[in-house]
Formats: sequence, C-alpha cells, structure tokens
Amino acid sequence: MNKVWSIFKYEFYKTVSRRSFILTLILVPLVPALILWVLNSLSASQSQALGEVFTGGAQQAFPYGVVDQSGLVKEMPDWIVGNSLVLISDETTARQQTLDGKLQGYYVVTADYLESGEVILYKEEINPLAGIEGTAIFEQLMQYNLLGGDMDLYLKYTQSPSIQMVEINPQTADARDTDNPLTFLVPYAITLFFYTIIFTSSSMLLTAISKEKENRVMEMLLSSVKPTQLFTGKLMGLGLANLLQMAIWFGAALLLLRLSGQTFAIPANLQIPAYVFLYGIVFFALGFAFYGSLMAGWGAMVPNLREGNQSTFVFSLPLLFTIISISTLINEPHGTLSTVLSILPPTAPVAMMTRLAIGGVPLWQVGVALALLVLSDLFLIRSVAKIFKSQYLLSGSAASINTFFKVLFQRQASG
Amino acid sequence: MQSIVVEHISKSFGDVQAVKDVSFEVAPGEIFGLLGPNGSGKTTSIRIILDIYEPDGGQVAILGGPMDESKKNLIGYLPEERGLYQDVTLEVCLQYLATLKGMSREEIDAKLPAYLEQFELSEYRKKKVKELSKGMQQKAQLIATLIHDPQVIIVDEPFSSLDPVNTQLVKDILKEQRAAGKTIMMSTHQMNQVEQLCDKIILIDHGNVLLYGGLQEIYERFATNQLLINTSQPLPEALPGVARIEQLNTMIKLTPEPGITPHDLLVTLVNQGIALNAFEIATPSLDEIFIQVVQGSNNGNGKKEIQHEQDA
Repeated sequence: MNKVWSIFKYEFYKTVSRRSFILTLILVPLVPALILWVLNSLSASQSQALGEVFTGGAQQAFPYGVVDQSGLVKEMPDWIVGNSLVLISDETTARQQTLDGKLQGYYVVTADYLESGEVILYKEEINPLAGIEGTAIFEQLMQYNLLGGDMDLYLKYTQSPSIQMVEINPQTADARDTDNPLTFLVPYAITLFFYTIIFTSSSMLLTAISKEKENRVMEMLLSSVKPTQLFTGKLMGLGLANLLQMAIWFGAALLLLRLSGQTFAIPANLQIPAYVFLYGIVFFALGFAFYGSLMAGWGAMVPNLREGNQSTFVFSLPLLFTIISISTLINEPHGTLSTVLSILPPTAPVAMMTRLAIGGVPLWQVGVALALLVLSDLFLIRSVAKIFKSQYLLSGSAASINTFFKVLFQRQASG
Repeated sequence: MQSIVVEHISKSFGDVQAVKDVSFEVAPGEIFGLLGPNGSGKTTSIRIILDIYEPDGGQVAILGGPMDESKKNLIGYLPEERGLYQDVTLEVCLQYLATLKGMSREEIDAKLPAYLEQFELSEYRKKKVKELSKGMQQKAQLIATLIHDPQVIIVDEPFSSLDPVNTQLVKDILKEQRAAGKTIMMSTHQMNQVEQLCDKIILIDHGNVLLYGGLQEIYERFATNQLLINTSQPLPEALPGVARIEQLNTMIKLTPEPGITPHDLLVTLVNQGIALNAFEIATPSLDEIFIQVVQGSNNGNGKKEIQHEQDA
C-alpha cells in the first residue's frame, strides 16, 4: 500500500505541477470570467441604449415631431413621450423645424391610419440605428391613444400575462422556457464539458503509461512494484488531479452562470442547482475510472504513444454517440433513448449529467446509473489489472484492439 | 546460504522458448557473470529472478525463499534497457525511484547527496533528466540501483555508455559491494570485465545452459598446452614436436603435437638456440571460450556440454 501511495503522490504532484496543467486550470475559467466582467461593466456603466453607442446620445436632446392627420392622438403623456416626442400641428411646420435642427425628424400619422396603419417618418438623414428608440416610444404613444388614453388598460396591455405553471407530474414535467435559447445552451454546454473532460483526462493515462514504456523506465519500476500497484497508483493520482481540475472548472462554470444570471437576467429555472455540482463530481470520478482504466490497459499493450493514439477513437465511440444524440437528450430528456443512454455505464457519465442539468430525473434512475457504473468500474479495473502484466508492459510488439478486448473479457484463470 | 537459487526455470513466449531448464546458484560476496549471445535468454532469466516474469516451470529462491514485497526492497536492479523519467529533474527522479524501494524521505535526503557527489552529478541534480548526457543518465541509474543499500545487486551491461574513468569507478564500486558481502549478478558482453570481476559464470544460449562454474575452474577445463613466446630472432619454418606456428600481434603461438608437453617445447627452443624474451603457457581467453562453446553448441556439440555442466 505504501508503494501505491508513493506512485499516487508522484503522479499527482507531477501532473498538477506541470505548467500546462496550471495554465489551463486558471485560464479556462478566467477567460469567460473576464468576458463576463467586461460585459457586466458595460451594462452597468451605460444606461444609454446600444444604438446610442453608435449614434451618439447627444442627438436624443432633440425630439421627434408628431403630425397627427388621423385625429387619433388625443394625449401625449409625459410618462411615455418625455422629451422624445412633441405634437406639431402641421407637416410644413414640422418640416421647417427639422430643417432648422430643432427636431430630429417627424412622424406623420396618415388620415386613413385605422385602415392602412400607415405612418411616415421624415428625417434629414436616414440612419437605421438612430431611429430605434424614437420609434419604440412612438409605437407606445400610438398604442396608448388607440386604447382610448386609459393608462390602466394600457399598462395591462403592455405587460405580459403572469402565467403560473402547474406540473401535473412534478418529477418528469418539462417546465423549461422553450423560447429562451439558454434553455438549450446550458445542457448542451454541460454535455460537451463532460465529454471533453472525461475523454481528455482519461487519455492522460494512456500518455503516462505509453511514455513510461517509451522512456524504458517500466522495467526499473517493475523491479520495485507489482504491475497492479503501478496501475492503481496511477489511476488514483491522475484521477485526483483531473478531479481537482474538473471541480474547479465546473464550479467556475456554475458560478459564472449565476453571475451572468444577474447581468443577463437568466430565468431562475435555468440556474443549475448545487446538487448537480456534487453529482458532477461523482459521475466524473466514475467516468474517469471507466475510460481511464480502458486507456491504461490499452497503453499497457501498445508499444508507443503514437500507435496508442491511433486507436483511441474506438474508446470514444460511446461518448461520441452521446454527442450525436445531444438533440434528443435535450429535447426529450425523459424519453426512452435519453433514459437508456443515461443509465448505460459507457454513456451515463455524460448523458446523465445532461439530464441532471435539465432537471426532473427520477432518483431511482440516478441510483441505477451510479450502481451500474460502480460495477462496471470494478470489472474494468480488475480486467485491466490482467493486462497490466510485465509481458505486455515490457513488450514492444504491435497490439490490436481485437486482442485488447479479447484479453479484457477473458475469464481470469490465475487471479 | 545461497542468495539466489534458480532451479530448472523455463519460459516460453508463444512458440518461442526463451529459457529452457536453467539452474544456477549465487552466493553472498560473489560476483556472478551471466553470459550469452544476444537473444540467448539472459534478460528473461533476470526478469524471472526479479519476479517480473512468472516462469512456466521451475522455481527461484531469493534470500532464502520466494520473492515478496519486502525482498524487492533488498534488490538493486540496473536493466539493460536504461530508463529514467525524462521530464523531471534528476533529483526528483532519483527520489521517486528510491521511495519505490521503501526508503523514507529522511533516508533519501541523507544518502542521495553523497551518491551524487561520488558520481559527479551534484551540479546536475536540478537539471531535467533529458538534458543529461547518456553517460550521466547511466550513472544516475546506477545511483538508483545502489542507493537503498541492496543485498542483491543485478546489473545488466553496467559498463555501456561509460568512459574508461567511469568504467573504473563502477568496477571499484562492484568490488566494494562484493567485499561488503553483497551478492552481485552481472550480465555483460565485455568478457575482459568478466575476467577481471567475476568469481563464477554461467553461459547460456537459446535458453540452454552451455557452461557453468567457477572462472578458474573453467579456465583450467579449457586450458590447452599451447605456448606463447616472444623472440627477436626469426623462427625456422618447422620445429620438431610443433604442429602449428601462428604469428600473433607481438607473440608467437606454438601448438604442440599430441603427446608433447610445454616443457618439451621449451627444451626444443633452447636446443635450437632461440633467445626467448617471453615464454608463457597460452590460456584461452574468456572470449575464445565463449566463441568455442557457443559455436560448438550451434554445431550440435553443445548439448553434451550442457548436460555435463548441469550434472556438475
């Protein structure tokens, strides 16, 4: 056990002290945090509309004129128009004031507005961005007057109805806001995050083992420790280092999502609850043990890293299938395919996290997925220990994926 | 008590039988030479002794019994395929390898500086291993082999990549370790080093034992009655009782006819009035014995030798 501990400590220290590890650990959350901070600062410091950034706020000091030929505009309440709009009696006066620079332009509500709905905006120069705010205020003014100048009615009209959702089956009901693109973005990001981190961190085991074979340090190690001690120590050391990385990245992502919620008004039901973070750690650890064991076993068999990398896509196929099924996972998170993918051990670490991020996963499904993953990991660790024999570790011969799986699923004769 | 007892070990890889029924013993305070041509089964035998490979048949006893976790810490091994972690500093690499031999951090800190000093590597301890020369890496690996004060030292080609000064350093260390009662097993192709260092040897080829015994005993077994002489006079083309005359670099080798002793030849030379600068009985070198035995084995004459040696 002491030697497993020594290998664990060495592998962990070697991984976390690597410059590339430290840089990616910091930069990956730092870059989006900086972007968010910049956007947040812009949002807080600028009360002017986006259009004003390009057109200049000074122009807003001059109002637009409203020439009403329809007789519909009975009132120009300050709480709508402010200094943005003024009522002008006729078009000639409005044109002159515009040319004199007293107005930015003027709207003409045509006499047959009720039939045609036609309003003409006259300006000295047409700038598509500059008209944005004035148009909105004019529209509000028209809506108010069309509603007979009734403020209460107008406010009811302009405010969206408060819809209270009642889930018939609270466990599976999809309460998502399907109009909000973030509804799909967040689980999509989580799927890709878990796919990437599980696959890249598992690949580190392949690299570590292959490099030891290439460095020819393997024989030195095997004269001191048993192959299974080497495998266990490496799996634990690299696993913890990657778990640390994953926890920091995932934690930072959730934190950023919360902070961005304050800035961009992300609906509450898009905020990922804290328990998903805890599930994330568990599913990552189990997923790493699953794919890390496979990669370590493959690394033990292949003569060098180059040959090892040529076939790793085979191990990534289940995860790739999850990515291919991402649309189904997100649109039908509780459908048959999504449920099966989130329970089967090769796809569960990614698919279940996608579903958990969406919410409403029955607890028994999470339990079954975890139990199957634990059993699969135990099987794989035992099976890969068979491959972690000196005969393979010291061999420079080429290996095939077929042989690998054959050995993996062979019944262990000698234990 | 013998430190290493190998009894009838065999090992096959697929259809290839790497080791066939090999047996030998190594005692404490002895340097044992494991010799053989390339691919003869030497490394496989070492790996079986170290419990890296499980033998198909036979057994190995190390320090009185089968290999276990604690005994691994009492063995120092320098493999033929040298290997160190390339991307870490020399100090970190050696510290790690020492911890895998059961050394505590305190023990390592107490012993490592002295070894680095002895092998003139102190100033490189903070350098990455990949920045060191091949010879330096070889010396570093020797430190990893010796730092935990092993009872059994197994070195495979210990002199490769070393300059004459460092070769002498390693030879001196091996002699010191022998004097300290350590058991040393050395595999090498450098027969001159074997002649200078080994007390006992085994020669294997194609997994078979061709020769096994004390070095002196083997020399005596392969001794001939040939003579080496040095003279400033030219020799006649034929000498009475001499079957063959060969001019070597500085010496002349005389092969007597059957029944003629070296003493008879000396008398003949003196009677011929030949002034001798040097006169010695030609002992075959280990190189010659090696070639003779291996070629004899390949010609089908080796089997008898094996059986004879194994019985002995």
